[in-house]
Amino acid sequence: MKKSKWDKFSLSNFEEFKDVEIDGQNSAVNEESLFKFVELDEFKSEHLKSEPYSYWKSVAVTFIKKPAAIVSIISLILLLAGILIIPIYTPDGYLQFNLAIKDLAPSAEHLWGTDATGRDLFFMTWVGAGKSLSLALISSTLIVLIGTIIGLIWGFFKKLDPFFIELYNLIANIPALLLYMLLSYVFQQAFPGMPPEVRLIVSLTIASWIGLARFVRNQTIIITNREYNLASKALGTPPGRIMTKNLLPYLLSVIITQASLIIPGMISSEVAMSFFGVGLPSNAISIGALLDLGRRNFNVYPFQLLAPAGLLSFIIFTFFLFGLALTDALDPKKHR
Amino acid sequence: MDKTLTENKFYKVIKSILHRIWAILTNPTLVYTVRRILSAMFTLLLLLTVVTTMIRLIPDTRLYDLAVYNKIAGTSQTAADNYRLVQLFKYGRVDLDGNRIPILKNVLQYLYYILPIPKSIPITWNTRYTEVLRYWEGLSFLGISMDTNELVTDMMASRIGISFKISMWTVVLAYIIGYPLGIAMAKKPGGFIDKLGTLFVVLNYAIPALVFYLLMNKILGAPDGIFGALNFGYFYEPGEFQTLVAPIFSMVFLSIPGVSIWVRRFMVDQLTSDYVKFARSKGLTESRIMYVHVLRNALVPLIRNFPAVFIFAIIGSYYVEVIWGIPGTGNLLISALRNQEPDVPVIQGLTLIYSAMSMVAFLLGDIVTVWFDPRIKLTSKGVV
Repeated sequence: MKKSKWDKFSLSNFEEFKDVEIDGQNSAVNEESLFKFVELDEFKSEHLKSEPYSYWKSVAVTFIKKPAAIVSIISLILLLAGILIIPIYTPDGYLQFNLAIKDLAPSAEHLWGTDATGRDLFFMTWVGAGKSLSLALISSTLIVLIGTIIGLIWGFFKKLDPFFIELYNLIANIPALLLYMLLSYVFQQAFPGMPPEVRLIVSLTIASWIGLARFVRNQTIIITNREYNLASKALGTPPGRIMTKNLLPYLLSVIITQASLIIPGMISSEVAMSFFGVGLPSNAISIGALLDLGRRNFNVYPFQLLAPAGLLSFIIFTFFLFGLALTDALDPKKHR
Repeated sequence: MDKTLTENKFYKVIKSILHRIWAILTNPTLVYTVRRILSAMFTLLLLLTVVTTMIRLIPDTRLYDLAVYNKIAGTSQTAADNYRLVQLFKYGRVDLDGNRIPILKNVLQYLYYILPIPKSIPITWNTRYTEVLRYWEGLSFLGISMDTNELVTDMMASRIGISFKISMWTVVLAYIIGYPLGIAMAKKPGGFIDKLGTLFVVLNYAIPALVFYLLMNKILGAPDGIFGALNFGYFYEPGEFQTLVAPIFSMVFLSIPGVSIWVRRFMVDQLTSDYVKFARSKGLTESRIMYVHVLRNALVPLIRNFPAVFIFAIIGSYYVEVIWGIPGTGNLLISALRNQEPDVPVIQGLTLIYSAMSMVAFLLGDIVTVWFDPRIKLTSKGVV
């Protein structure tokens, strides 16, 4: 007999009815044996056997069960440990120009070799990665904060829509990388005293917050007209309270999903800007500058390009994997 | 009298013509197009203002060399002040008499320069800057590069061709490869091709573009490598198409996911829709449903998506142009930004051109969608 998907609900699957034959017309089922009287228990009837559903707990459980999540968490821990610990133990003079030891191949003393000016690539790359990562994390945090707050306001107060739409058109119509470079360039020229890191963070933030704000705005508009929000409005709840108590908890998961994809984008942008020579100054240690130096000597010393390229790929891949697993875990449809 | 007028043949003809003109003028597609164009122009004007203001934020002291100024001041203070004034004049900060020009005037002046109307603009003066030696005549004037003293329009005209060529090749190839891949993935969601394609897409997103381009440059270009016989080379050589193969391949490789993931999602959505169920219940074959019914519906958003992919190609061409040394607009922009002396006209002009291009691309995407898809209805308030 073909198995149908309803088979698991067939009575023969339940322990108590194992011996009862219900298949076929000639089986005589004794109705008395099928049912038994259960006494009413006041306590038991009020008590739920299953645990109450908690969104964040389900997210954590779903997340931990994913192989991608475990791989990315281990990589993240390794990455953070490397970025925090390796620069502390840099031997003296390893980050200084030393032409006597230039272009050395990887060895026990210089794990990833040295570059054309005799700096140790292992320590250089990790210091640069730490810089890129912290820049990306700070600017992503700012983008998420500004984007969420403005997105909520934008979505909630419909009168502001034309202004913000025009602002969005203005910012989104300039290709992102061009806008980063333009802002960074203007800041560099206008405020020469500004530290380059601050300049990069400010330009990345100014150019990117509106993308997230528009996303939050769209989500806000979708849920503002739900009954619970209309009820809140009718009861005279102030807008600030509706935004923080009604909308924000609802939006939190989608915002986290977006944020996890913003971080690798910011790292790539920062590296690209430094690579083009418009990000961190050329004498600063950064992955972008290392990539630019490495590609010049690739044919003779391929490790000079492969070291920064490898670490950058590892970072981006880790964050991407983490974001992917988190996106899946945050989706309530997948909480089973 | 009324009766004679209404029965007049001439009156009837006029009326029908007016009626037709009115029908054309109130055609929702036309109204929508005009509205979109006007709004895009407004955005562009705003952009021009913002960019000009931003550039005005650069302090005067960055626009001339203080060492040169001090050196001249050592012999003659007037000559030094003259040098400073000339520099500031070149950047549009002061007029010929040394009076400061307000930002609004800068904006209006730039607007006048770029408007495509015949005009003549003084561009070179004699050393004392009192008398004009040469005029520029033409339609749109974007200024003169501070670095090379060439006209920005000439610089762009000589460079945009190669950038456009790369982007066009990239977009066309990305669609030719990405579209069938997306369809193949959608045919059996969760099947072998789907899993393989998803892996390709995930890896593609996870590799940093810059690293990919750099490695492709080295691997494909190596004369003694696997592809050495094909002569791709590390750098672009004018007139030799095989030197463009490696950059175009790299860009296509990174553009495919954008196309195929989207096609897959769209097809999977459509395959569960009512009209597909109906077609299936009528007994149509799966391939007929796929290629005749679903694919035709997928074509409209394909056209809409086209500009976005094109923009991606242009943006992606910054990397490619710098790495392969292709003399395109992206390379021009990067070198202008790296320049010690602020090459304002080039930066300003390129920003405007890029933004205008992306606006036109999105506009075309929307308008073409409206024209191609009879189901999209337009009202005076926009797309419904």
